[in-house]
Amino acid sequence: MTSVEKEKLWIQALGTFLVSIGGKRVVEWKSRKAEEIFKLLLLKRGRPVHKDIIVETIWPDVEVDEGEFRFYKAISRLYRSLEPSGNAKRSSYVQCRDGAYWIDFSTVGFFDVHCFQETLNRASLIHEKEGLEKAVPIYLEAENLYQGDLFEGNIYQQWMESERERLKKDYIKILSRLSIFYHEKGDYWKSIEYCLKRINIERFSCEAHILLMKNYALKGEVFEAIRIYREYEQTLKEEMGIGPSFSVIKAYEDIIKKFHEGKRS
Amino acid sequence: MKRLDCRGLSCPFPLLKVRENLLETGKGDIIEILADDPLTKMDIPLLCQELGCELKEMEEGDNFIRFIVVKRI
Repeated sequence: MTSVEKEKLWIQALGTFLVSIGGKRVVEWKSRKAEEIFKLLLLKRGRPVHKDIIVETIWPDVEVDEGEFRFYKAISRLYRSLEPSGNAKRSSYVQCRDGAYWIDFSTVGFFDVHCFQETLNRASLIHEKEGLEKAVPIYLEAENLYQGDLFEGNIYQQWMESERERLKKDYIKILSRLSIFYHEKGDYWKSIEYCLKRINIERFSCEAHILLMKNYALKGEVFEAIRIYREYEQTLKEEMGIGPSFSVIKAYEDIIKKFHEGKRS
Repeated sequence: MKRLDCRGLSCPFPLLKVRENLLETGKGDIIEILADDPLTKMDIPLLCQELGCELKEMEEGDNFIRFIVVKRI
């Protein structure tokens, strides 16, 4: 059976990491290091990575010989994880030549990170050419693909940190655009939903807190806006030892001023 | 002239970084600040006032805002 005929890999890396073969059998990793090598190769998107680089990345604190020994053990387990009945010395999904390894991306049917980025690029292009309103359905599509941070749960692997942060920034950008769009459209509840999602991952964001307060105030929930401000003020004080920025204070004061003006009239 | 790059940071972090640097810098020193969070357009001029600094310039580029600040106190 050639790699073209082979059942494709379905890979979810945003949130819980899950690999399945043909969308049917979920891959059970024979070892954590085998899984880690697969993740490393995955982020290289089919570009070859030399064995020495893999060893340095996955086993940074071990001697070269020991690292190499562990690598061969793990790579064989990786092959067996992907194809349990196959040969432990090769795989149709992970290719090897001259000491370099890569995932054959022609065998990947779905990879959420790739789809997320492609969808976001499409949305940004339409946003730039035709405006935000036209781009919103595509931003929503991208938002839906982001089920969590890259390889959620793997917090100790430094090598994946920059990619994880980059994707998170892209996701925050989407949430920001959606919350602004719905705010400007007057759909304040929808805007609140995206502000809260953003605050959930970017706890100190001024922009999200300003918009959240404004949304509540415009829905007539001024006391909720005040509660949000006080909670934010408290969080900043306790965790960073600072107060809210001038822009947040001004937004809060404007809400209070409008509220008193409304009461007088 | 010292350069402070706050691009990629969103509020309140550019403000924190600028505050820390303005407090450390000496009287008469000039700092160029680059940021891309639109909220800095309001926050940095007000921070300058609070810390006794002069905002000499505020210029908006395609993807950035550039401030020139002089420490006066």
